[in-house]
Amino acid sequence: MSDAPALSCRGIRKSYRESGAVLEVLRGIDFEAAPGEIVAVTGPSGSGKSTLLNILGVLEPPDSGSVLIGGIDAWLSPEGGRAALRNRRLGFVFQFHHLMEEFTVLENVAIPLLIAGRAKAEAEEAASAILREVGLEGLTGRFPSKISGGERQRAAMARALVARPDVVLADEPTGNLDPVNGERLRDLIGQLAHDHGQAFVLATHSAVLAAGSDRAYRLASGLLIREG
Amino acid sequence: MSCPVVPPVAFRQIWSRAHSGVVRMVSMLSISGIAIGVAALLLLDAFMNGFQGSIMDFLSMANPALIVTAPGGGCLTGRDVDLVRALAASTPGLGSVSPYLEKAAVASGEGGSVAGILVRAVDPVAERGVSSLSEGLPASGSEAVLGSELAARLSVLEGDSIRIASTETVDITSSGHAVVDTIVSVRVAGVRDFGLAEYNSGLAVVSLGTAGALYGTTGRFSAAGVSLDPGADAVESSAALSASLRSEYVDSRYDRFMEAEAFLTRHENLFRAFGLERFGMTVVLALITVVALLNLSSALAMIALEHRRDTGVLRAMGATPGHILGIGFLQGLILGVSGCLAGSAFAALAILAVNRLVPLHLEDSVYWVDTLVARVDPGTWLLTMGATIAACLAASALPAASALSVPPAECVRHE
Ligand SMILES: Nc1ncnc2c1ncn2[C@@H]1O[C@H](COP(=O)(O)OP(=O)(O)O)[C@@H](O)[C@H]1O
Ligand SMILES: [Mg+2]
Repeated sequence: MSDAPALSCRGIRKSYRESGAVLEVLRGIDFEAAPGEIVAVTGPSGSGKSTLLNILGVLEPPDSGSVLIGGIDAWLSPEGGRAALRNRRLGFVFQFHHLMEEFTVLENVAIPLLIAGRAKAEAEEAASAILREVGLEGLTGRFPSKISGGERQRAAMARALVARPDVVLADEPTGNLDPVNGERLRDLIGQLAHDHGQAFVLATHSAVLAAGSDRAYRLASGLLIREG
Repeated sequence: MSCPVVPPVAFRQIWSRAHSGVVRMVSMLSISGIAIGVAALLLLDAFMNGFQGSIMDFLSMANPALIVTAPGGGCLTGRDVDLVRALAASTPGLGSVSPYLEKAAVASGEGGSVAGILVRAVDPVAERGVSSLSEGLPASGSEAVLGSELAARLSVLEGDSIRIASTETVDITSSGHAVVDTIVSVRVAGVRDFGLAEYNSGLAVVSLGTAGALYGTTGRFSAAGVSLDPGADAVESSAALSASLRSEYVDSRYDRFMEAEAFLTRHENLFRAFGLERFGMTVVLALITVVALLNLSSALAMIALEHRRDTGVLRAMGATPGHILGIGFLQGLILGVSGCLAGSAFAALAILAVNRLVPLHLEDSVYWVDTLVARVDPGTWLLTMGATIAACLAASALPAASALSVPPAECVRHE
């Protein structure tokens, strides 16, 4: 494992203007995650965790500061370059599974590879391999509405992992899961980080999930405070 | 844009069973709209073609393609006709020549019923080369072919005989009686449907010999009909023949001025009226398609809105703006092509039904032709489909752009 960070950011600031009032959500975030490392960001609802992950995931531009993914300054890249970063280097798990309802579990998981331009057969082969890894091999042909919440979240995890990204960003992945399923997902993340050397950044208010991380931060008043 | 992810996403979103099936229903409705618009335009075109074509066919079947007359100079002589024959032989596109005489007369049947008629005297053999008028008329003898309605009015059948009186030399005596000096009796050789109501109700085709007996006009003709070779243009050929006739006269090689005219130009106003009617109807029916396109546009916007979150997720997974636009345009294309195919299929079935199974009858005293047939012009058919599909793509632009305008972070934030 190299020491060069898979993901780093410097001086991230972000504020929202809502009906005249300015809401400063992030006020200078410096942060990095090394390959194979699990970093947890905790904080109460509304503290800015999702905002931070969206900026790190190149979904939303910061007001200032830079995001480096594999050494590339994401927000200085053109639109096509940002799309390629999202596709090849990053995996996203949302608080809600956000699987596409019209596609089966297998098809959902194959989509990042189709976006990368890979052939359907090849993409679905890789998708069924990763589904085996997250323990969903029996459910590949089901539609998302026909599986349980925990299974959906594991399918979403498989989708984030299928293109073998360097960094997986997970926004409250256990937020809608019961404790048993939450622990299972935590164990799965630990194992994947170990097996594939992928960096995980988890936004969570779950103590269980934070406890499984290599490094934990608390987001308060727009700043990151190291906790463990 | 041509990426393996675009087609499946475009297709599944359109036919989505999610969102309580509303999306699927909206897609079906917009396909139906396009189909109705396309079918209306295709049917209009086919029936206008058929109507116009039937009239043109009937007109040209019962008449020579070109007619040579002597303006202001009355009848043509045999010498005139010989010149026309010579010139027609040397002009490309022109076929045979057949002179005819046309005069008004009065006919009476065996039961005493009387009708005013138009006598068309032709050389039965030569006329076969230029029109179908002389069909059923023997090469010689005092016989006539009558229009079907005329025969009914005179209460005669084939084989009966009628008397035809010339109206040229009628004298009114001092006591007020009309004295008709020439009456000939002719046998009805055939009763025909000439295709045109005007001809059916008053035309009697006789041989030139019969006309000679009736009018004493041997060797004189009203005009000479000239046939066209297949594919030759009537207007161009008549201009060429007129030019030759004119130079014969101007260069003093011939002492009589004659002129050729394409028969259909005599009905120019009719065809111009058809054109105008067709244009107006096309504009009105195209409005259906315009409404269908607006409907398509709002259906696509609704599909994009229902899949806002999926769009955000796709972009988070690395889909480019090109992919998102591609999905939107492909959806417009799918709905547009489906609508066009459905509309074509419907139009084709309707045309088959009308042409083969349930003919539409027209009031022939109003329309000249008594059944409405549809004729498909493949070029216009393809043009209608192509233009509609292009318009569908144009109508997809706004919804596709709207799908792209929502920032991806907004789309994925909420459940
Ligand atoms: N697009 C936006 N416009 C205005 N305010 C926003 C927007 N997105 C988030 N916020 C506000 O920013 C703050 C941080 O939100 P978020 O990052 O979602 O917090 P968390 O994920 O920690 O719950 C909240 O107060 C939220 O209302
Ligand atoms: Mg959040």
